[in-house]
Amino acid sequence: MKSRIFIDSCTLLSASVFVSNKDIDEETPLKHKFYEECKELFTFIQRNLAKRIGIITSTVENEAIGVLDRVIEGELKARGYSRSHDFEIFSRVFNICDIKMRQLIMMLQREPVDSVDVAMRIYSIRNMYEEMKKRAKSLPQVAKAKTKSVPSRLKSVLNWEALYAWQDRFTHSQILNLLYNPVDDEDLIILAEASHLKTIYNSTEGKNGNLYIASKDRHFVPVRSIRTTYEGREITDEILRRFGIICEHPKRVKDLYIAEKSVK
Amino acid sequence: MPNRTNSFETVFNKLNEMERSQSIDPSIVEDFKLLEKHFSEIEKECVSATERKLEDAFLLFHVMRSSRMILERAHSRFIDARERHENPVIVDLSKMVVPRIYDMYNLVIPIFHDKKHVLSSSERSAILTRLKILRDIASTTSMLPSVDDEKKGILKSELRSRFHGLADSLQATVDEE
Repeated sequence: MKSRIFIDSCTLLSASVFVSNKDIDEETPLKHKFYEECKELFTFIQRNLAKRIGIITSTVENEAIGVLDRVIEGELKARGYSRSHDFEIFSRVFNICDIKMRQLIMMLQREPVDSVDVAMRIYSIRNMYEEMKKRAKSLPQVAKAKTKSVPSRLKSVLNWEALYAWQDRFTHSQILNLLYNPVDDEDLIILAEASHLKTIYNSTEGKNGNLYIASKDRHFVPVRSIRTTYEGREITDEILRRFGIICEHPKRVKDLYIAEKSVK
Repeated sequence: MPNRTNSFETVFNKLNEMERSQSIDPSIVEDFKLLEKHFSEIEKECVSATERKLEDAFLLFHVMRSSRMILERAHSRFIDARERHENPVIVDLSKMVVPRIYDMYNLVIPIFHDKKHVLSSSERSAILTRLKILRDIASTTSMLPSVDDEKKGILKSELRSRFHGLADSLQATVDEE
């Protein structure tokens, strides 16, 4: 199959929240924290438009609109804005983001999916997350044991137990996250759709390409620390093992895609 | 507030007649204006009806405002049709968009009249999906208001403040994920 990049809703949304400095009379434009990273991937997709490497489904589009609605709803409630004044402004902001999303979606291939096949796949994906959750509940506490093995002359140098506990928590952060932030139905559907599309691509084009999901959602992509090399990637690895899909952050997806092409 | 189903019927009849005769009837602009006025009144009521939940009132307001803006685009396209050589293309395009606005209106108006109605999450989702479909078609037919149209008449400081809040909240949403 030809390698493709499946855009997740948070990547789409992050690349849509941007207002130029001219529009707000500021020196710098206003943008989402992940705007640059996500926009960079879209720029890469745009440069390779003829190859049609970026894909999306209607579930992702609707999910992105739903998230935008929830966030605006939260904004209206939390900040106590006045209805008479702020309904109009927030409606404009909603539509500006919607238009920017549409401009990005134009670079992507809208893939239709077979809802029956997707529904059947959701069951096995839900099971995978349940297993991960169980694993998170029964993780062994290894920090104490590791601390015991520190040579006695080094014991006073650091709080080893705290350090090992942090390392341990970080390495398992993806599955520990499931305990207080369970995976939602939309994520299950998105992964099921990706799995369905991968099967279709494999059967029609052969098995020699990759399907990437470009996301910032830690139910899919690894959790990384800026200062260290530790990663929490148990779910990401399990998705790759079971469904053959590579889930990564937008920038890493672009790098992996380029590296894959240069090897070939 | 009177129901405007009749105004929609008038618009549909005129569009059908224009399609048959292959020429534009300028009187349709007045029918569009009537609908726009009606939608605008609903928007005002959404703002003033404080007994309705804030988020529900906003969604209804947003849907009506977005639909009205598409109607305004259709109406101005009819005015400019001769100059832009869109006679009778604009009729075909309007026949794609107006029925979607009518669908949206029929979905929303019973909820609007029942002020005690609280939108369920599936109702919200259905309204948003239908609005997305309407905007998809408006985009295909070049009747979707542009970013510049949306920014018109809004203070830069207000735009900055609302986008700032939105960007912060969206970041929090993604970070939580």
